[in-house]
Amino acid sequence: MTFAEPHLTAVALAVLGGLLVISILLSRVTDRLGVPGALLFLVLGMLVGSEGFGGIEFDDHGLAFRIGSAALVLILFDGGLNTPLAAVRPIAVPASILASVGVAGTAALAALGARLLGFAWAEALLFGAVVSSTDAAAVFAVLRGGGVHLRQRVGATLEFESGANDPMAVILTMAVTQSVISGEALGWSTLAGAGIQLAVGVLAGVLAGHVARQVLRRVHVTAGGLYPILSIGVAFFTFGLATLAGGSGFLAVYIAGIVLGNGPLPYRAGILRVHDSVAWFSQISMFLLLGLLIYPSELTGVVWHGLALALFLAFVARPVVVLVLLLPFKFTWRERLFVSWVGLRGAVPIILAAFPLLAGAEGALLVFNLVFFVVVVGALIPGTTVRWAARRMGLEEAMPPPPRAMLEVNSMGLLRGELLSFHVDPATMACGAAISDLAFPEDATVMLVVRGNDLIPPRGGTRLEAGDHVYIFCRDAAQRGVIQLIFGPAVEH
Amino acid sequence: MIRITDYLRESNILLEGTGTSKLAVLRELASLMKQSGDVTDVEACLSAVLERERLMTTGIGRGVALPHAFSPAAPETAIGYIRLAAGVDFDAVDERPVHHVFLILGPATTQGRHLKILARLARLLNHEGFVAGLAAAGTPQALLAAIREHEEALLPSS
Repeated sequence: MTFAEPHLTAVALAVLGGLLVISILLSRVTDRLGVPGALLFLVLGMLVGSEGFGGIEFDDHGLAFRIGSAALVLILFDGGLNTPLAAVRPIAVPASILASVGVAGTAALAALGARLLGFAWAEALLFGAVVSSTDAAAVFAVLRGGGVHLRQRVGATLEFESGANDPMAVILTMAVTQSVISGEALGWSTLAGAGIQLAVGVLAGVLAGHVARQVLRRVHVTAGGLYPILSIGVAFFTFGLATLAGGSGFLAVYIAGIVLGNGPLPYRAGILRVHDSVAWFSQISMFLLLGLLIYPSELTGVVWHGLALALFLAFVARPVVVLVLLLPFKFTWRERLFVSWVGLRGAVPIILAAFPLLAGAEGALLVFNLVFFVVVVGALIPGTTVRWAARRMGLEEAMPPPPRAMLEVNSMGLLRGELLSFHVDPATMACGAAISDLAFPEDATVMLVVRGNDLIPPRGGTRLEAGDHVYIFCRDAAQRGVIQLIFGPAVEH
Repeated sequence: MIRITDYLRESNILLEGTGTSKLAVLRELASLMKQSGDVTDVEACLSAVLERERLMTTGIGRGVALPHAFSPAAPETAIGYIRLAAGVDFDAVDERPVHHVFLILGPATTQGRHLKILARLARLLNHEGFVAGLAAAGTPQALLAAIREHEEALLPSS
């Protein structure tokens, strides 16, 4: 039966919509298991793909590379927006080393592993480069979505590393592809070139972030819904410009996100929410695309090699690199072990694997198929055990449950003051106190008390109980210190 | 209107603290307050104070920390002060070493007073010259005088 328009479009949208709905409905299950929910889409993609019951033919690696890059840009930008500088500062050096030297080290070991399994050097090196970075979306999803609250230093290290290490993997993959095609050996100039690309990327990101902040502040758009579009535009523009300027566009986008997210932002909640959704959507798209690109029949030939390399990567290559590189830094052994364990691989290797394929490098198809196993195993094994490992090693931090109701101030312009949220802990002075006793600075006040399912209007005589969530508006950010002295740390939503 | 100087006794002021860690400093100060009779059980007070520190440091910047807790081992509201010439790592919010620690202890029944003392001390820190005044005081009496002076300047003259 052949379909004509508009029926073809209708069928396509119905299938896509159905897949989206099903996967979101299933996301509760995958969250509980710690599997990056998007992995489901990989399976769905394969099911509806050319060899599944869907029979959709898709083998356009060029388009996949382009969509994948755009998706990665949006994921990294969102990651940057949600990265608090205060948490990053203490771990910036070790995490940066993991993100640069660590990636190169992992790539080298992975290549060595592949070579030992009998692959040619060209294939081995390509494989190493493609799988060398941990995946930001997967790490963010497992750590944040899975309800795993890690000791801040560990969580921040993993998140910052995963956000900042894709660029290095991209650079390596491009360099190795170039070398395989041209026949020129990799040398010190490759390393120097990588350094330059990273440096230019950082510069471009900082610059773009600051310029974008000024633009967002000065431009008064009437419709609030246009602000996130502006910021998405900033992300794409930053990537493009930084790449054209000879820098790492991915690193630039991540840095620009950090700069923007840590400054005053008009319509902040709206922008962040949209980027959050867009990042999820991007991740889902990447996995769906991968599922479509894979021909299961081609995988059968490399099953054992693929599995062996995936396990080698998770159990040998990453742990060795991480343990060695973190040695000079102030981490406990448990923390080092945990960081070495949570090297989740996501969809990035797929995009990277598509690049040598596009460029026509020798052995690229083999690498592409091997990567499938690395992604699945690399997401499944550490992913499902993250929470167990965190608990086992005593790295989990008790976190208050989220409040049943959320209060936020949404404004298009930049207004003075901030709304802080606190969980009342028995160890704080606030617990048991009447609101009139709080002795607040003059321009701060309690806005709302959330107790279980109740919303309580704060009056002078209202007593705060352990477990309450309290929203406090304070006009002057300098007062935050005093309020946190009384309430403990503000909760970030 | 409460006054800091009403709760900070001379005998609870130590101008030459020797502790080199957060815990050591807190123990030094609590022990001093025990000698003065304001604390009946040093370890009980410490565990309450550390429980609060675990949530978030009370090192609120400018080299000052305001650790505090309720404990039945402190029958009346009392403040202790210790000065640390070398500075101690208190995980302060500005990551700078802490040179001045005010330890505020008392029973849970005095919550309102406790909160006012905390707020007052926090306000004093932002008062120009207060921290310098703490650093310059040569005797406990001079320290109290410096605090009194800044408190008067801060409060409306009523």
